[in-house]
Amino acid sequence: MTAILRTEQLTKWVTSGEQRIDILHPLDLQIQAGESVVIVGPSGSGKSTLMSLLAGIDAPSSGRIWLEQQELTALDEGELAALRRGTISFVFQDFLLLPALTALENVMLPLQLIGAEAPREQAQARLAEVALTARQHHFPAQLSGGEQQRVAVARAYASHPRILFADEPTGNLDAASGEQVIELLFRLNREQGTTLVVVTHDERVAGRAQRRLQLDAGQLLELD
Amino acid sequence: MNARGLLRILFAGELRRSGQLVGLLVALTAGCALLWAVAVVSARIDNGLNLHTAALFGGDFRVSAPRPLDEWFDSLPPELKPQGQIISLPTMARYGQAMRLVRLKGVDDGYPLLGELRIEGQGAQGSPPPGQVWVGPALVRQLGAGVGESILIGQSEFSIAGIIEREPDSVASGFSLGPRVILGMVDLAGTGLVGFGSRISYRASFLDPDETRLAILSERVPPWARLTTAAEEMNQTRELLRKSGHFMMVLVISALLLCGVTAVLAVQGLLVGRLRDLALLGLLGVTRGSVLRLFVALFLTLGIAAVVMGGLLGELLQRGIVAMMGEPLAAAGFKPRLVSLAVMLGLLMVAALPPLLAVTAIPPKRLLTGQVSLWLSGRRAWLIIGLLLAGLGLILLLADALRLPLLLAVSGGLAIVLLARLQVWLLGRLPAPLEPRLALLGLSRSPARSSIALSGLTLAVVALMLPLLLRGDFIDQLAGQLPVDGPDRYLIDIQPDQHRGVSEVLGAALGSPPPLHPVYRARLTRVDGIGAKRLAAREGRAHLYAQRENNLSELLPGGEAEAGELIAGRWWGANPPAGPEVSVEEGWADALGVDLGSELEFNVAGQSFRARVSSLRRVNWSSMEINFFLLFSPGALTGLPHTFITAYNGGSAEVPAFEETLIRQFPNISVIDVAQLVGGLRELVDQLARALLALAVALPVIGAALLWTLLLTDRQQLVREALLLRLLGAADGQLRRIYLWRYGLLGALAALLGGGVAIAGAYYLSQSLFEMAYRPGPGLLLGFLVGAVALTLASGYGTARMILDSPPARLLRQRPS
Repeated sequence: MTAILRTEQLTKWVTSGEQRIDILHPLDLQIQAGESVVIVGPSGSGKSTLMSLLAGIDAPSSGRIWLEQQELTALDEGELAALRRGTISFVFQDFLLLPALTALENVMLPLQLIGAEAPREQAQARLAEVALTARQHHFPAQLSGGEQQRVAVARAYASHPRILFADEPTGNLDAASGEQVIELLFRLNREQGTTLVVVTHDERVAGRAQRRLQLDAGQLLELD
Repeated sequence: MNARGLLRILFAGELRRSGQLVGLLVALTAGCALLWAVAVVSARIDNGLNLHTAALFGGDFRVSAPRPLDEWFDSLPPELKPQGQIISLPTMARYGQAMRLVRLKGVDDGYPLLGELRIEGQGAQGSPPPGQVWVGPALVRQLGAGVGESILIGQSEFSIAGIIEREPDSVASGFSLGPRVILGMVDLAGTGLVGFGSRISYRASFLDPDETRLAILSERVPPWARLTTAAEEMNQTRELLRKSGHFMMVLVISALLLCGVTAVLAVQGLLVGRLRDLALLGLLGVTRGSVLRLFVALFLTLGIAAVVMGGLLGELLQRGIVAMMGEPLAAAGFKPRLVSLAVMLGLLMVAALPPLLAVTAIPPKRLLTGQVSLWLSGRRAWLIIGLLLAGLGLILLLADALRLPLLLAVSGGLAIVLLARLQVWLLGRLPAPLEPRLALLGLSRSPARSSIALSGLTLAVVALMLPLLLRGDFIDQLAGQLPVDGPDRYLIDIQPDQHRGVSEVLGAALGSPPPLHPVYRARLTRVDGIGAKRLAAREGRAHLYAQRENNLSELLPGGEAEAGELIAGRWWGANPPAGPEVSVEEGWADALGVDLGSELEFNVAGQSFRARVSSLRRVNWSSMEINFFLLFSPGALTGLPHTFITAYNGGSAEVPAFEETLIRQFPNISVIDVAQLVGGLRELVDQLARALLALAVALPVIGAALLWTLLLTDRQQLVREALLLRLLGAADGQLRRIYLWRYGLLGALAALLGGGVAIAGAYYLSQSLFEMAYRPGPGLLLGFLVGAVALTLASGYGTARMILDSPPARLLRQRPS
């Protein structure tokens, strides 16, 4: 296995007036390609911040990050966006679907952004995988929370990304819907070989991952 | 916790979200500044025109009488006493053996009440010192007497202290004879000219056009005196005042439209960003009333802050606009300032209440989806629409002046909203590549919000375009009313047996003789059987026409075009009618309730006769050409006593040489020089044109700034969408293209729709209000289209830049929580 993601002395702090608040202490981390990793930790431990840094959607205070051979910390926002396109995907706790687009259009969106061929057919296939063919023409407001998150998962896998970041993907869902979403995330991880990084409180999610990390007071610990 | 405590905490929380409130505050402040500036400058122009008219007239109103008014003055309470008195009479001035008929004017210390009396080489002056006179330049030439020399007037000798360069109220004396001589009131008494049998005119002038004071005074005016106002009497400026008033009304309505759009869009923007908060408050059990109070308090606070800042900014703006005109304008007073602040606050509350009522009635679960309409629905919507329509109907019923603009604004607004809705619907059905389709989807999938945004932008475009579209034609029309070589000298009292002789002299001097019009002095006795006394009691100018002598004339052969534009009825053509018929000027007809077919009865020197009204005319009085309120069919007045009048342009010479010949040959004829009046009117038109240009140019500039701030308030709505696209890896170019498409489309649609409505509105207003031909310039239209698209594109580019420069994590933190 080769490392898809690697950090070196990664830190993050913020200032409030005169005071500096350290969110992440210097940390070194390697995630292998195709691996499923769960990051757990109490609220405020810096889990979401770490995920944002690893995904290149936030800038660290110091340290370096590599995605495969590319150093993320050396790229500007435009280059990061280009790197994300077709390589990195996201699933968020509050789904983040575009309310003006139907379920199908939401899934088509990343495919169209990378100029994929037959985006409609590919998106329909992804929606079929998450059992939402019948709801493809519905708008997000017309779907339940579980259905919206399944659309988000379908969208995340639509462009066959190398790595998928999920931030509390079951946080807004009931147990049954949450179970469905976990099942989907890990099944697609296995089937497509996509690296999966999940930030969660949910023990059910943690139990499904190959590797578990715990973040506590800005320090990262390997569990097991 | 009590309700007040809860509200205080929530209110403080709202105020802490300053980032989201700044956009709203900026937009409202800009709107308020715009309204303030337009209202104040309009009021200053209006007051300036009235002041100019009053200066030409010698005061806001005056009482004229053929006998002394002193006893009457004594009977008046202090608040009704006049501010100035003038006594004028024709008399002879002698210098050595030379004598000349002059117009003698005795003035008091307060002279002139308005305007500026300028003496050659001495600048502005008041009344001449005792023992001295100021004289018109013609007298110096005619008598051969210069400054410092003495002339004899009546029994007194006076030293010529200066030559009159500008006499502000020269028109006020009406048709009078000879060059002007001005002297102090005390000196006038010493001349021995004021006494029984003198042809003296006493004039008391009043400032302050207060209607109540005028009404009280009019009841106390003795029957042998006449009360007239500048607004009524000045035929030449009345049209200017009326039309400029209409133009400024268009400007103020445009500013109001812009402010209304600002208020609606700003409120909508804020409330859309608060949907989750509102849901949360509902979930926490906060009552609807408390939420309403919270937001009303918030909007009031923002509104008050905006009107304070907007007032200050507006004051700077209006001063800037006036400075741009490069000349002082009359003061505006507090009224337009206070009204503009109150209107802005009122507009904000009117814009805020319906969506607030709507949004607080929506269950929290639906609010959380974000897919809600901020418009009222169901019975309450119909109730509010019904109340608005009833209020509108009441205004239309009661207020004549508001009827046209209101109907225009309401029908235009409805048309815009419906068309915007249609456009948004059509857009959603167009196939297009990814970026424009995403842009279109954003517009078409939120039809209510997009329609509001598009309607708002469109209305703003209409408001910006309308004054500019009308301005050029309007100013051309104003300038066209004063022909460059129009008549500036009149000959009156030409007797019928002098007609041929006068024509010959004028023909020889001017190339071709100007037409000589017959003048019949007549009193109106009845209109459709109603007596003159009853007619005089009507409002407006009726008393002027029903009580004083009217000048009648007959249509000269081929004189139809010069007689004015027919607005009803027809000319007589080659076949004279069987009975006497008359063509009536529209203002005269309006004042006395005269219409086509009305029967008018007159008395000329004891002879009564009747005539039927066969046409109504519109006359351009400021052209200075000879015209008449009442023009009879050829031959209708044959046999009645009359004189003739004619007018011509005297050229650059102060007194044309041939006039000396005329006066010697026909000593009874009087020459009246109206060059000063024409000069005054030209100044007035120039000033008005400059003022309207400054205002019409300033409005789009300020309006564009306002639109810019409005487009910025829309940005928050786009952040969530942009964030997602960015997370999905949308490239810089793709994001930029999406926003450029979105804003470009919005701008182009608004410009096209707004341009269409503005052209239709300008055409309608040109025809109905300004009575002028409308010629839309393609350059201006194209300029507006390009300008609107460029403005919205720039805003779209700014939005894209803001998003492109920010890491998505920052945007994630900004998303509605």
